[in-house]
Amino acid sequence: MDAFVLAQAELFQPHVLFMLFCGVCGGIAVGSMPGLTATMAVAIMTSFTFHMDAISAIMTLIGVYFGGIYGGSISAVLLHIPGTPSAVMTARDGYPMALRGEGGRAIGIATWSSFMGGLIGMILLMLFAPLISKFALRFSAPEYFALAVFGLSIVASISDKSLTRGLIAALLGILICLSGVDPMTGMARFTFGLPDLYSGFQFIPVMIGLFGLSEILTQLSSQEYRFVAQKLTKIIPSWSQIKQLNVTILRSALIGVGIGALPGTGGAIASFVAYNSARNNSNKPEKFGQGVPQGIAASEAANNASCGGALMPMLTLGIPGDAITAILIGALILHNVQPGPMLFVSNPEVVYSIYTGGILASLFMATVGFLLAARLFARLISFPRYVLLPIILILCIVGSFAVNNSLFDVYVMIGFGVVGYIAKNLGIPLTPLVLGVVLGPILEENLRTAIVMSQGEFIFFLTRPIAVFFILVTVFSLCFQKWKANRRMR
Amino acid sequence: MSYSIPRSYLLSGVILILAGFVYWEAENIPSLTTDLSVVDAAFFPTAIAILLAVLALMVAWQGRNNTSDRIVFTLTPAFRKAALFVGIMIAYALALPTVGFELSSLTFLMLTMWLLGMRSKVLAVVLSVMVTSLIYIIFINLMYVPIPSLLKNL
Repeated sequence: MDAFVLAQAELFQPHVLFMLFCGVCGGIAVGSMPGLTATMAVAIMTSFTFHMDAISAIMTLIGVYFGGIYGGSISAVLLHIPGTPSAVMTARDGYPMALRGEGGRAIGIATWSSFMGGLIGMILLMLFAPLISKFALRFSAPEYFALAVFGLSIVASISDKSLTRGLIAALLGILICLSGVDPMTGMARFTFGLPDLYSGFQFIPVMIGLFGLSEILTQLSSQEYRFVAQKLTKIIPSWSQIKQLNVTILRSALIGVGIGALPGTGGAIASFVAYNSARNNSNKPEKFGQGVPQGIAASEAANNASCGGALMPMLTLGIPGDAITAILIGALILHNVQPGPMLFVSNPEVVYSIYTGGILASLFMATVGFLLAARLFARLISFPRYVLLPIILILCIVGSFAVNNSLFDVYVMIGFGVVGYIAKNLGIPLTPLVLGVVLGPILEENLRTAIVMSQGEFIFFLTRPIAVFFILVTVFSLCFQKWKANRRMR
Repeated sequence: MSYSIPRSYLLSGVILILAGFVYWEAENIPSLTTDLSVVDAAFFPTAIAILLAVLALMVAWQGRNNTSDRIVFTLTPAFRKAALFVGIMIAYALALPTVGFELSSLTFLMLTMWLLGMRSKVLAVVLSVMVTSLIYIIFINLMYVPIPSLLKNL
């Protein structure tokens, strides 16, 4: 109890709160820019925290982390360019809303859902951190493979009109990940003699090309471009809207925490799974992808709740839940704080300040989002095309370069922009393709590792209860969707 | 002058060619194991190539009754403009290391704004300078992204 009081006393000092607020604002600004990810922002900000005291430094980074994940939703909604990988599903329903002139409302829903997701994530972190971390440790290659298969079953709900084309898209996504040096054998695959391809395609340039540039090329080659004036009223969701979203947000946040706690997964997979779950539980699943608030709420609540989930293994076991928590571990060690089981004994005030700091970061994020971001950014989309498109194009180029400081990534972005444009014209949906890119490496690596573990015995999967659970859930989910679709047809 | 083809047939053809290429490339990946081919680097690409080929044939089969959904190949002015923009982006990327971020960005922004219909030269210059400066400050000064820059090298 003394440690808790001490943590609050340190946290509620004006300069610490100011640094947390600045971190949130900076994170939102960075996350909203294509190519600049929350991971990059946290990594860069770490160097600025050398001279700060431990609590100020950690609060600044927590602020950047939470703000950065939320910021990705802004460009996803307004420009159809997910600022972060975890905002891919937000773009699916947010952008159609912006095209209807409801950009402000879409950002408002994203803000509310992100706030609630972040809050639920932190509360669950406080209550169940040791328990969930222990469960997450039971995940090995077969379990991760089964989880990836479950993730791929989402193709059925995001394939727009044709499941066959959705499957083709997902396979193409997996194919993109195969380029580079094979992690198990060290053999180069699909590198075509290009040294830049030895580390494979970077995810961000691929995503900017597929979503951002292909959208611009579609607009340029379409004669019917129209300006959409954005309504900036009713940004803060009404009570009735909140009530409609409550169940979706709660369910998605729980999914986000669960998946976020698994090392190596992260917000992108959480938002895919939560979106699928929201769609399956909806009375009008066919409306998903056309601009429904539940689609935005599911994705944003899940990816922000995954922050709390990712902090669980970091705090309790010293294992990073995702790339950002890996950097956070480094930052904590820099300030003589060693994450892991002993953290609760040696520095309990740090643990409590992270708990409270996460909740405060969510509050700051909601305040900035409602009062500033929604109004400011939603106006952007109303700019004349001759101003907006060049700015987006240059951001696409500079953002792709920034990922790896490589011009090769710029060419990759342009290449995938053209691929995305062609794919759209051929009727291939792009979201399953990104799902394939996200899940491909997990699927391949863990299948092969599991086979090695079992010495070629496929029956090995059936001896793992968690893997069997995910396979059964996958089968059930697909059957349930088919049953629902048949019922609607009748 | 235009030419059209049923969308499903075109998709099927493109995917079949791609699947064939992936299969052929995977065949060239050396094998390291003798008793457990699943572990080899070629296993996954081969499996995906086969699946893609099967799905491509399914698309063609499903589309046999809907040949009215066609892709029309025609060089409309709007399509040419999209192609021109791709070319300008490649030129910008090529110019970055030699000309530097500042000059190439100003030229890129003014050119694309003009191509999209902005006719006020003053506004185009002002906006281009503003956007270039803002990106410079955020990416190069604050985020330390080492974009080739003339000012940094002075």
